[in-house]
Amino acid sequence: MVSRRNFFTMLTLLMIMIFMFMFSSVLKQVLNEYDTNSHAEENLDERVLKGRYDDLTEKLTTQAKSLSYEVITQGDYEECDRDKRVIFLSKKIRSEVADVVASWCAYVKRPMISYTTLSGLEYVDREKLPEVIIVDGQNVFWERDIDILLNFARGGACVIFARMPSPKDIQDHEGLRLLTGIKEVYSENIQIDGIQLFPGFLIGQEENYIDGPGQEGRADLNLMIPWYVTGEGAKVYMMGLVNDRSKKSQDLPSLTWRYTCGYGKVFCICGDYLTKESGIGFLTACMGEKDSYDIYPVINAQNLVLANYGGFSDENGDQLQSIYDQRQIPLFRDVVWPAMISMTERTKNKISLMVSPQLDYEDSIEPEDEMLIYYLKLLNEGYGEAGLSTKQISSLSVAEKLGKDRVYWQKEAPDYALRSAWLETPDMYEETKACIPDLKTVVVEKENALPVSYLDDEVTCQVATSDGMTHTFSQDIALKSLQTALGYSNVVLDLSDVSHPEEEDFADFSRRSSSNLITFWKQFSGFEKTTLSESDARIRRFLALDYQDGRNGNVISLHVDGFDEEAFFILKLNRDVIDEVKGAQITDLKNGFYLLSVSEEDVTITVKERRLFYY
Amino acid sequence: MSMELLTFLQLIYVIALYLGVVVLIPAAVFHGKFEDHPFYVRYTAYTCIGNFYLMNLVFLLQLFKISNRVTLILGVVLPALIGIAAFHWQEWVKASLISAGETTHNVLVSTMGFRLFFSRIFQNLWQAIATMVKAIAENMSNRWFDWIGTLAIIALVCWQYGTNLFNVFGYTASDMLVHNQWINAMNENNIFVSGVYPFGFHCILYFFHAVFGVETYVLLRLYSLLMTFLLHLVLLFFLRLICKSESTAYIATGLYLLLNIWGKNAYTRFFSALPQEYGMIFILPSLFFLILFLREREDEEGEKGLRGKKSTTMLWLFGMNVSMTLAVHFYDTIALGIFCVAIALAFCRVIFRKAVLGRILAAGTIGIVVAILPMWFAYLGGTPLEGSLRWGVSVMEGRVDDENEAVLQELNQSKADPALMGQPEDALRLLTKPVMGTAMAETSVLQPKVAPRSVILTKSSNLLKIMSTYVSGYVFISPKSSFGVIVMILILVGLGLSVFTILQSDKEVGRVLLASCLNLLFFCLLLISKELGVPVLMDKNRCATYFAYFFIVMLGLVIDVLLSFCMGLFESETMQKVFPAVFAVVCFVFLGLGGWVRKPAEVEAFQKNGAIICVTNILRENEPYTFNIISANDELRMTEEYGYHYEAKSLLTANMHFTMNTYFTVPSRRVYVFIEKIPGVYDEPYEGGGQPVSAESASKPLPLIDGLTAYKGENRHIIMSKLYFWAKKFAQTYENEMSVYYEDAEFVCYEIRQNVDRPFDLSFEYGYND
Repeated sequence: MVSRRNFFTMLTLLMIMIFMFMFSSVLKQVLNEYDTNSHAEENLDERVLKGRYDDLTEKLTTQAKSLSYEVITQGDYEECDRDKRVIFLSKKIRSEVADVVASWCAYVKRPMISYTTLSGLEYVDREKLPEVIIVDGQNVFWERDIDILLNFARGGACVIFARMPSPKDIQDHEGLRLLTGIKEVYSENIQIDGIQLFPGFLIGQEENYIDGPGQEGRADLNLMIPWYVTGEGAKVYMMGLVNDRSKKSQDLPSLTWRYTCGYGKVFCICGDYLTKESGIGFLTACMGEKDSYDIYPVINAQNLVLANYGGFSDENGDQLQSIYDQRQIPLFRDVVWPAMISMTERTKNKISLMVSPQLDYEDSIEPEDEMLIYYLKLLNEGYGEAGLSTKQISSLSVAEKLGKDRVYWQKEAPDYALRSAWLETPDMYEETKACIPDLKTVVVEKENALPVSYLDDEVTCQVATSDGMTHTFSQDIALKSLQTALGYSNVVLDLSDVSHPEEEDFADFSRRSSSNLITFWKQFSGFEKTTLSESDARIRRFLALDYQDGRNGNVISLHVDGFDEEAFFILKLNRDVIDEVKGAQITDLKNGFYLLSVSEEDVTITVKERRLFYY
Repeated sequence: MSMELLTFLQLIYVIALYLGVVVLIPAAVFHGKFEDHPFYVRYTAYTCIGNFYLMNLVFLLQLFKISNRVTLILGVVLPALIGIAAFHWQEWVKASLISAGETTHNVLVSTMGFRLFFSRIFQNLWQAIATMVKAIAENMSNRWFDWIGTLAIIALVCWQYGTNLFNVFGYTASDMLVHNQWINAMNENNIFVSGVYPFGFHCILYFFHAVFGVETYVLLRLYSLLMTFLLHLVLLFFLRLICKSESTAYIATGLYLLLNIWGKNAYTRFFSALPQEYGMIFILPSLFFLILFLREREDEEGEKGLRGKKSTTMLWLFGMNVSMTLAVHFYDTIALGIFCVAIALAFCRVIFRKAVLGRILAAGTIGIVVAILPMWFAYLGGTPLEGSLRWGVSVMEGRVDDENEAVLQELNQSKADPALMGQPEDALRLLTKPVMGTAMAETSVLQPKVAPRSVILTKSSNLLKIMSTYVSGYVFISPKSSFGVIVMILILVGLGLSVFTILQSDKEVGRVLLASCLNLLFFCLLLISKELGVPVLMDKNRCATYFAYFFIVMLGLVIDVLLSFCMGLFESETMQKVFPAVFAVVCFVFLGLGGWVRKPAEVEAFQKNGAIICVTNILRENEPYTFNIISANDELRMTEEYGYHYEAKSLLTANMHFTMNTYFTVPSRRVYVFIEKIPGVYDEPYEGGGQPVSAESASKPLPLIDGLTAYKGENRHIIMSKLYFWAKKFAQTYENEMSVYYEDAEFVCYEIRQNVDRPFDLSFEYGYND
């Protein structure tokens, strides 16, 4: 028999234990302020930032319009010793390459002057030469310009071939071979087996892009290339791989390389990387290899957008029941969400949940009341933020669809600030903006568009950089390039196929997306994971700032104009190691890349040469 | 950490390892056998056993191709444990094991708590330390003179031969690279890589490298001091054994270290870790144990029942030392052999008895057979003789008797010897040729006119002149023959004193003195062997090193006889004890005041200090085989086990044939280019040597010579000049990828960081391609 005293003691202990376990859960529920968007930055003055951005754009445009060749005043920043102008040489002023170069110039805050020919500039003093001349090699009058270009390069200018001249031009013009360091055009067009990307050029690890076991469906690179053999004075960053043991590495085709021509550096990029916006990283990488250091602004944001997230209504229940043995609400609640959380916990990503209360508005099945609160509570526990998706499978207009969604939203979480939306097509923007008054940023899927930009005075546009489901070789190069240029990626996983399946089931979807995100984004773990609102704030600050930098001995100085609370820069060091940093926090991104989280307008970085342990 | 501090720490480590393995382990096993003997006998016996065992263990494992860290450790630890158990089982080992078993049992059954267990352990440890400290303190108070004397000798050795180690980091003899290569090959169980050669020295260094992981180049850099220290210690102990007065040994060793009378041949080789000098540490111990054998033998004859035991031990140790001299360097065996003949003559009445001579000869023969066996097996296995050994054998056979050829052979073997540079060259030029020329001319002119007796007298007189001149020129500092005459007089005095001492019934000292004098006379004859028309057994420069060493033995004995005579004049025991100490002090004060103290020599290395600093850092920073060093050949052997090496000449040759279609790559993650801004002379002085690299030198044609000659003399200047301008141009092209790794006034090392999959083309137009 248990005595009364013991019985009460046991009971008390049980009560305490129950209380201890329940207490935290109850608190979590009660204190969860799910109806506020904690990721939306309240103090961000979008208007001021947009104003600064406009001023900067105007300034760069003004400088770019100046056709007379005079050294541009660098302001009162005494240590700045760079003429940041970029000359773009192409007989076609409007082209894909020109657009990419223009985007890059805008991101690195450099005025771009386009020339169809360099004739007339041959008498420019070498000291007044621009820092960079970017050449669209396929659109140049070589007979006229090669000597001037060669002269510029030998004088110390940096020349970047955004596209290489045709092999025939290279064979015909000795000046081109002297300029590019090509010893031999082994073949004008030849099939190679793969491409090797060496570390240190783009952020990320070394890659061998070669088709083989485990790479099914990934090999999409154009492997028909001209075979250029480079020699002394060249540093190769990308090289073609050939399954021919008689060929030594030195003989293999060079695809991207640097050649020292006199006092100048010439970068050659074979292929069409610079015809896509994602290719801007190649230009950044070239600049990073030019001098002992390079410093440039980045966004530092890694988004994961779950677009068209269902699970709010029971639509398409029969089909889902037949496939998953579950209807839509429990499927999303008990299968999809845990899988997504499991993936984000491994990748450390934050979720931007683009909610689709319904996809079919004509089936009379309405979304359930509690589900929105359920997900908002989960998101508020630290997993991310919510926005709206515009996708639907019914015949309503966007305004009507968003109107219905808004009613549902107002009913469940009237105070939640909806800052972001996923647009199925870019032309839905106006209607979306009209329906969501707090909208600050939209995500779109757009081929060959600027990764980040302003849509209007209030809203920014963030282009989906990956669908998360495929990761081909060219997508990998594009990802590395974009990370190098902007420290930015925006993965959009479209979950509409889960609620309305056509081909693959969720298990396959989950496996592929997890595998891609965990594997290929791991090398960029130095960048911060953000929600759309957070990345929106960073993009606005990134676009609004200007900067000057310079080096005095071992001290690299950076001044940020238009600094607003925080800014992010990448520092590329080619020789030295960092000794001390003032005004910023530093993260090592490997292979000489460092991420600077700037907290003051002026930053000084003291570098040192490696000191020997035994001396 | 500075290189000086690193050198100091490495030195301490290397000495501790040596003493631990070579002295302490044999001491642990055999201390019972030698506990009745004084310290210097015990130490000499343990060193002898330790060295002999290690050498032969390595020989054996190498011949069976099973030498590695595990077998070497097992080969040392297991026999040591078995030995300890066998010799001391009845004593403390058994007691200790029983006690440990009981304690473990008590702990397991909880009759002893952990607190008590640990407190017991600490208590025992503390007791052991306290006992040891007490014993040392007691010993110090009883034998304060020995302690002070020994410490003073150690300090003097460190001062004379240690300071250079902290100023010059490179190899001070070019043949050290060859030895480095041979030791490296032993890592692959490839002993006798360049042919059959006495590998005793290499076995010892290889053991410490393989077991303790000390880099071979570090061992070779630092071993010279340890060897020199041991060399002086055995001299000290030998004299301590023979001399009547305690202080004589310290006075003689001190004089050897301090007297400013030695020519560079007499001591320069002590700055390098070379086999001959290592083998020297076994010569005097051989005699040491031979004399102990004779002593024991005499005692045994007096006491019945003990016959054979102690004397046999000494005979074994004698045999081991004989064996080791041959296992390390046959010059040492020749030197020992000569001294043994002198001993045999001096001790003829004792030795030439059937029971004694037979045993000595048997021990010596066994020792020699043991030393020769590994070489013999290798030779039978098809390994040819190494160059210098082939020469040695041909000399013994009388097929080579031309001195120049001998010297040539030596030079081939030793590549470059600092002892051949500077003063001895001048001495040779000043002394040998004119004197020899004169002598020969006089002889040939006078021969027909003078009577046979006069010819003999003239010849003898000329030979004496040559002898004294050679002694002065090769052994001593002065090129004049005065030192030679003094030595001759001292030998005569020594002979007289030995006879006097033998007659005074102090037979052993007298006989050893007599043997020392005879030995020196033999060495005098060895110096003029060419003139005597007998085979040149030993290069004169090397002969000088032994001469100086043995001269000190004789001098010490002369001093001892004189001191003993003087002490005999005092009746008071205190005066008899104080007088030698006072004499020693007066002696050294006189030396100091008279300016007769030798300053530590500054021996130049064949590598710049910067090169060794870079090698040390490169090995520390890089994973094995991820780097290449482009340099003159020096670093090839030093880093052979850890990375790759390209010769500077290969790089420049590739650049010489540079065309648009050629390339030269060095495929490793890091490439280090070693450039001497002031190229070393490297054994071949030339006009304009010691000058910085220049465009003028770089403009000269690249010396397309094989081997080391390309890096000697002016050739080195040309190569370094070209390499310098090549590096400048390369750094201009690859400013981000090439940087200065280390630079001082005389040396610069560039580091090239490159992609292994697409290494840089290192051949290009740099202005001096030829």
